[in-house]
Amino acid sequence: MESHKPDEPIIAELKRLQANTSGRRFWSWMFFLVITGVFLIAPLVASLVGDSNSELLQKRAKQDLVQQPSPTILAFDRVWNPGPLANAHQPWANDCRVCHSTGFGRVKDADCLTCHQTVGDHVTAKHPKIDGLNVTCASCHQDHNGAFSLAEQNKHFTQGNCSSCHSDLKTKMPETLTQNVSDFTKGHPTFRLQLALDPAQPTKLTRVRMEEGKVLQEPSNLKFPHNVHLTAEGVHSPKGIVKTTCASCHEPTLDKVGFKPVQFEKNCQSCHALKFEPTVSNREVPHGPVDAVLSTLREFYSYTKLNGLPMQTQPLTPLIQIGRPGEREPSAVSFTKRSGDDRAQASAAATELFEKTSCAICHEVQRVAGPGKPGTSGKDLPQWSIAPTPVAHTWMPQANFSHAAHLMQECSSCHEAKSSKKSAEVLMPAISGCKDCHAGTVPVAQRVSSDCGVCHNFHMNPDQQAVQKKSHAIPKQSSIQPSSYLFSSIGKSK
Amino acid sequence: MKENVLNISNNLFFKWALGLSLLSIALYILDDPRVAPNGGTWLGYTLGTIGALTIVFLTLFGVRKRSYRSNLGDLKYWLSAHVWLGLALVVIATLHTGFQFGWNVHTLAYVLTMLVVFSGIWGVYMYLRFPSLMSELLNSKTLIQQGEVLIEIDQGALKLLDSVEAGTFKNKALQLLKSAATEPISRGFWANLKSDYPNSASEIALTQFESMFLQGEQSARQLSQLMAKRVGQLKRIREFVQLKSLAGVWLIFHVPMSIGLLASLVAHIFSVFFYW
Repeated sequence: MESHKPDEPIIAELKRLQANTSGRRFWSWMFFLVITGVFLIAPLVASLVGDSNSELLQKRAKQDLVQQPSPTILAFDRVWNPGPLANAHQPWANDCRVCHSTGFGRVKDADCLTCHQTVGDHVTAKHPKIDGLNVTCASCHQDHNGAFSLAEQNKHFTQGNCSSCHSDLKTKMPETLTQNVSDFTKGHPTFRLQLALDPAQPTKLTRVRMEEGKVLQEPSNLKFPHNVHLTAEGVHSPKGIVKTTCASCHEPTLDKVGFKPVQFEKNCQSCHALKFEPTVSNREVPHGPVDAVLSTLREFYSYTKLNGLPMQTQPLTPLIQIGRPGEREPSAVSFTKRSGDDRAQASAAATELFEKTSCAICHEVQRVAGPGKPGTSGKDLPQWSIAPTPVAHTWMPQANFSHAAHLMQECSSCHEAKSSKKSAEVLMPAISGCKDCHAGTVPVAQRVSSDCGVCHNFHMNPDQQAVQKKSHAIPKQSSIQPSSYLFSSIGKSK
Repeated sequence: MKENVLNISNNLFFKWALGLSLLSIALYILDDPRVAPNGGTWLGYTLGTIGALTIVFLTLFGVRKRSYRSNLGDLKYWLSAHVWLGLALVVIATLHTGFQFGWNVHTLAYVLTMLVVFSGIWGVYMYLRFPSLMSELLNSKTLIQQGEVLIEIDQGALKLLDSVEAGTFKNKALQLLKSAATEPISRGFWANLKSDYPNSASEIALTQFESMFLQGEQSARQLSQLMAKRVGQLKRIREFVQLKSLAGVWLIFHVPMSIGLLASLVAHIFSVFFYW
């Protein structure tokens, strides 16, 4: 029984202090309302009512690739952003709907393809749909995982996914030309190279699989023995003995991925001069069409005849050898002193040039019936045809091979050029050579661990794909200029 | 060892929580996600689902606690499961994040989860420790009865002063006793929590009476004894108030924060699937 007076201040205070702390309900409601409002309602309203939405859809409809960032209302939905976007996607970080076009659904391929229109498919268009390959862009490319490229992100996560189909591809797609592959070390077929097998159709390329211990041949219509040019003693040149190396002719591209096309004027002519009247003049014929060569000769001898050889009777410079370097110099012949008219002189000079001293040194030359090209001064001379030489093309255009990444190696560690006697020999190294340094996915001592993504892309080059749609051949090499008819360049050209 | 909320039923819920945590850690170690561990991998979705269901279960404890007529399991089992699964949630939720954090609703839900769980650990400590401390302080009395002791002391002191002849001492003593008697027990919210009361009028009265006694004022002796009692009693009451306030504050933190967590969890799940 409590005997205190009810209005005793201490008792009244204690009764107050005894009561439970209030505010639970108030603060619960506060937290609930504030969090729901800021983190659920506001972002949702911004997403649904965002004025960028209709604008974006219009741009989509017009396939306008350059979409300006158009944030939703105060970018309220940015609190939903789970992580940094890939650096290329960051301009759209305040407009979720650029990629997420519909609510409650994964990002659709169509959303990606609005911008990424040129990305290639995985297989030839002959097989647009493959069972088990019903992947979407988002299956592999997962954004919001950091500010780096999504292509880079996936490059090195491919191995398991690739081999899940490719280790038994022959069963899944019996008609495929691709062989089964499980791992670079344990199960990878030999390389298949794109070769121009028919010199008459230098742009028709066929894929041919390499065989271990056998050198593939790609007819070139050129006589170029690498071994003669890479001897230890060097070769004879107008400047004396010169030791030619690979780099004397094969100049890397700026990115050092591949090599510039070999050009006669740049890489051959200093030794293999195209002189036709060496005792009189240093004039050379152009390294060009037959009619240009013949017209040059025709005009030269007409001029000397007409003017009674007013030219320098002695060569301006010492004689440049016109025979093959290393061979005995044929005696210099002057056709100006020959009997007969200027046309006969030009004919004799042309025959000597085409069939003995110059063209025939490297080219397959054949005498053909005249007359020559109408409207050219050389049309009344004897005529020749030069067998077409292949346009420079890459042997493995889909492979991510960079010579820059292999600069620590000698050329000869991969390319057996020193023993190659014919230009037709494809000096692409065999896969066993790659395996000297590269292992598969499982790390091996002294080897570079290499999963599929090191050399392969998932998406085919769209150009390549368009071609493969028709056949396994690549016709388009329009970037190569006629002046650079040449030996096949090495590696990947971009 | 005495059975309590933690080891009830032979550590049943501890074993469940430990098993769940170890399983989550093992799966996290074994899983090799394509890009980076995150909430969107199969393991991420699995851990997220388990975590969300756990949070719902933990919140249901608040409902069960108030359903006094419910037969759905003894409340002490509920509390034990609440505590241990709450701790397992630290592991599950952290692994669900894949250690990806940012200024967004997802990390907000995670941070609120952690705040609620860690405040829960403090809650468990209080739940185990405070009842005995508080009943020791009350010493088989009610808080009001403990307050009446103060009143009795004050009344006894005034009575003592009746027999003292009027003069400077009596005036001074009356003033000291009055300010001690009217000193409020609580000095507000924060003082309750800290139980820190500098310049307490009762303590001042005590020291004043002591020094008066030392200066030869005989009547001050008994007064100082009474004030010493008063200071002790006031301390007892204030310590009780401190414990009660700490428990009360814990509830207005733990409960509203868990309601906030539920709201952020809904926003988190909604946003993740809205912009899948």
